[in-house]
Amino acid sequence: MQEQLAPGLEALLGRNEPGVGLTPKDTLYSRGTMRLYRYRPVTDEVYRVPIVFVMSLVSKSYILDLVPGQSFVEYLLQNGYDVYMVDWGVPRAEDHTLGLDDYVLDMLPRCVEEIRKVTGEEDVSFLGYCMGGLFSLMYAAAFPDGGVKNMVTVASPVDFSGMGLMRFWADPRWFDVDRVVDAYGNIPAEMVKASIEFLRPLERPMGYIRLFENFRDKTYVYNWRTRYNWAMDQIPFPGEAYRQMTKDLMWGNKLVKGEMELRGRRLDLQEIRCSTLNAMAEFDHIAPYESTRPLIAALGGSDNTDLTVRGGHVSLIAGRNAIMRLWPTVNEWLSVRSL
Amino acid sequence: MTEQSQEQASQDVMTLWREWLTQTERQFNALFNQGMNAEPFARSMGGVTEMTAAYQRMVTEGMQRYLTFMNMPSRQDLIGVAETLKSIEDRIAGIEETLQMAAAAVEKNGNSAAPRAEPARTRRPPGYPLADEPASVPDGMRR
Repeated sequence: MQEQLAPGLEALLGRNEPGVGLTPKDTLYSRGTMRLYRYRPVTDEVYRVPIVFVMSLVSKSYILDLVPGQSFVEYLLQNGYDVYMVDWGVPRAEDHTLGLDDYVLDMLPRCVEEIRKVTGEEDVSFLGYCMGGLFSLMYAAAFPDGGVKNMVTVASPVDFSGMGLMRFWADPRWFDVDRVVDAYGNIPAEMVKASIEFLRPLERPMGYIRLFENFRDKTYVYNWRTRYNWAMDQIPFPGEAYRQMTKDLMWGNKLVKGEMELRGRRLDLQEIRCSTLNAMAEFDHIAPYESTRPLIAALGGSDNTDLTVRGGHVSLIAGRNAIMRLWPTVNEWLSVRSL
Repeated sequence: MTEQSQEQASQDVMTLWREWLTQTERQFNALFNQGMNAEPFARSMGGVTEMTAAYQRMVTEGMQRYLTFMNMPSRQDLIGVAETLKSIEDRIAGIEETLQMAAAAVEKNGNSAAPRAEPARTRRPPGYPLADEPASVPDGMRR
């Protein structure tokens, strides 16, 4: 009996946590908490254009490299890609001054430069998850000749008028972003987590009910743990970036309007002419469909594709749904464009 | 009732239970969202956030005064040290970049050690026509 209940009990007690982010990699470049990783290729021949994962600021990167067999990184390596990852890390107190401009105009270009040195190729493909997609778009708009050949945005909000409750709660009539950032420096992880959990208040308790239901199912418990741990593993939001996101995007919706500026450099989405695949989840509550859908219409290029998947913010990129839908589609779409 | 039909019945019950659970979750979440999409809720949420921020600031300032009195470094002092370290780190990164550029220039002049083994960047999707150009074409011409 005890043996049968072991998987569930281990989950509740936090024992034998599944190892995540295990795909072998080397650090190519680091600055502060930011790391640029190169995953070791597993095929003798790779596609000419390397693929660079750009992570979100508010979550840990191992969602893209969960456990073996459920790792997007591992899947792309096995399909012959040269894979890199820009991981922003967990911001420290002194990182409160980092703004969007630091990430987009300093760190990302430097990472691209490092990748060029290794590959000898001018071109890269970006794959940005959530806010990482937003950063990829900002980079491509700021540097139209910056070598982005292909871009895959996954659950990346661009039209902030579609951000629903999050935007409503952040309304300047009742939310003083300056006071909050000035008081905390970085926005605490608990605050970020609470604002996400408030969007679906029953998700966590129902998750536990489902866990109890499948207490003896080793595979279910294992998958539940990997994704639950990631969702709970929230990280702080660098203060200055949060202030800019709130003012320029949540309040001003400047990116999609073509009014966004970073250090005086205008970011015009019409300037982005690379091939773009915009992957969206129909029931995404964090980056709602209404906020992700308008991307393609705002871009300047002609080789743009929308991919809408039934699912949520996390199931779009990780888990069975992703393995069946998103990953093969990305592979098929990217392979012919990575020559 | 046979064993098989008993099992079938219990599976039906479980399916019904799961469906009910999913529907309940959806309905309650929608109901909560409706409530939270109202001005009074957003105002009170903003108020709580502001109050917490004010409390945080008060604690920080109080603690800072106390630590100064005790002749000990405050969190702010440590952040200051960390910021200095960070700027040193950035400068080192700049120097590293310059050195790497210099090394790349030397490499171009043919004075470098043998490059490490890299996979060939010639892969093509299955069923895709083979490349016309040989793999040894210089990088700059391959685009």
